[in-house]
Amino acid sequence: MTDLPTLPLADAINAIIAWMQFGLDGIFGPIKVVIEGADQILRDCLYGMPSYLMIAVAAAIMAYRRRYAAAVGVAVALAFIANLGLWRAATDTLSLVTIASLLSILLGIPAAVLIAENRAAKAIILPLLDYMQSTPAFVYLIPAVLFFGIGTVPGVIATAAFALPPVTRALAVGLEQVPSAMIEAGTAFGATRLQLIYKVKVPLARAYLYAGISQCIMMSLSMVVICALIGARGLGVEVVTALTQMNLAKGIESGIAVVMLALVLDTLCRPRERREV
Amino acid sequence: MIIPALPIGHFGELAVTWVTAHCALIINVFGNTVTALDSGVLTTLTAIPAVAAIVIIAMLAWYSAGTGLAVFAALGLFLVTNQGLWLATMKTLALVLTATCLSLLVAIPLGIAMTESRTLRAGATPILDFLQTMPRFVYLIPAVSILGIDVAPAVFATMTLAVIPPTRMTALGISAVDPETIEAAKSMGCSRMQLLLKVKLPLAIPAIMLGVNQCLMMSLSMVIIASLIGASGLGDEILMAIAVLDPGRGVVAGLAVLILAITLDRMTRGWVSRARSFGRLGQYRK
Repeated sequence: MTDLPTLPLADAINAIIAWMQFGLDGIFGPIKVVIEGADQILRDCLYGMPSYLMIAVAAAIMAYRRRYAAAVGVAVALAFIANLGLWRAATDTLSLVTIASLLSILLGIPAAVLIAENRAAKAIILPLLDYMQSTPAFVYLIPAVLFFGIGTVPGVIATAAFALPPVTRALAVGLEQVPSAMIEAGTAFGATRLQLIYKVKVPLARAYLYAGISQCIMMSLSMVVICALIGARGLGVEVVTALTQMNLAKGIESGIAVVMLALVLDTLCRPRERREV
Repeated sequence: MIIPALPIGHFGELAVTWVTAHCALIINVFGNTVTALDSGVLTTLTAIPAVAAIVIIAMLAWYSAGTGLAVFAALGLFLVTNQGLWLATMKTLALVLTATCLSLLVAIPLGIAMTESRTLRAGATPILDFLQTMPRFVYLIPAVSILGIDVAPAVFATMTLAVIPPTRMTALGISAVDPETIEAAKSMGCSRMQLLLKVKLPLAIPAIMLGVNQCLMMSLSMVIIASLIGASGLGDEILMAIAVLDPGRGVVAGLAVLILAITLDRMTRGWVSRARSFGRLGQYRK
């Protein structure tokens, strides 16, 4: 084996990348523009709102769901972030997490439907998800940088890819557990295959979908911080700067801000217990 | 805001300064143990030629998870060797194994203690939640300021995260043991210790194995990140590749990480399913 010459894998990959950066610009370019634009718009909206208004809105949502203790908790956590002086960074992170989660949900739902409907797709996609889940987070950064350069867009892409498996899996499991009597009833009423999927199966698997989504958001949040290494905005930048400056105080504060944001998002996005199903 | 910024970070800094100043003995012992353990594992892994090591790993893979994984591991590791990444991969593997062993040494007793004491459980659960949600980079800072830049801080930072899943899984596995079984054991006159060692722990083995699997995967992902503070190995290769803008090298190193991750994951998952079937037989399937 040692006498075998080194396969020129790195060079080959470099050549492919060089070709793709020019040859496939027609594909990556628009994606980049769309994501950048979405992030810009969302950030502008979030910046436009003063912090106390957002705190009030978040608390009001929880109060509307009659979870008053959670409403107070959410308000305190958000106020704490503001108090640490990390509000703006947290807003940036929130925007990235929102877009990345939306992307993974948009990709995850059709993928889950494919898994549930098509045996061949299941045989391909499930192992792929397995591989994705055993890949360390850091490794996701490489292809993202390759295709989209450095900045917010590769961060969103890497995060969306990282958070994709839980949504897909959860919904796929949910779709498989739809009672066959329901499907039979749907068929009996003359539902086409598409109608059966979107009007019977997916609504019945909603609880699983919500569970997948809340997991997806948590994973996005953890990944967005790592994406600061490739130039994504937000709290991650604070953490990485703290690391490079060996500034423990700053590191702890920005870390706590991430934990608080996670707490708030988890509380807001977790489906109402049972009643939904 | 009207309220002055709370000095949370400052308190943390004070705590770490205090630890560095007053716990020098413990820190030294920990640092030396980790360094010795890591270099011992690495020496063992690199003492035999790569081909022999690959054959052994492939056989282990075959034993744990079947032919498919054995072929995958052998081909993958040959590719890694061919790309000149064998040493880096073994460095990463040595770090992962060291961190996993030390984490398990902490996690399993802690998990058991959590099921035996209600107070500990109530106290530890939110702390574990908090530690798990904290971004991983944050752990690198105190690790460096306490232990310097070396293998030891990387292992320490890795342990802070990798301890959590096996602790949870151990606690979960033990508390999920069928109460009827426990009652039966009690009525046979088991002491508390016997109940734990001969009934609860054996029945919790599948869950603990799942914890080992998660611990290993978490260690791997954190060891790669810890290359930022001087853990050499594949993470270092990736960082270097990013620094010199040689994406090809980065992808190849990433591929090596992936091969290592999948091999370790499937192997330990093989142990989980084996432990499960063993557990079923042990209960004399109904």
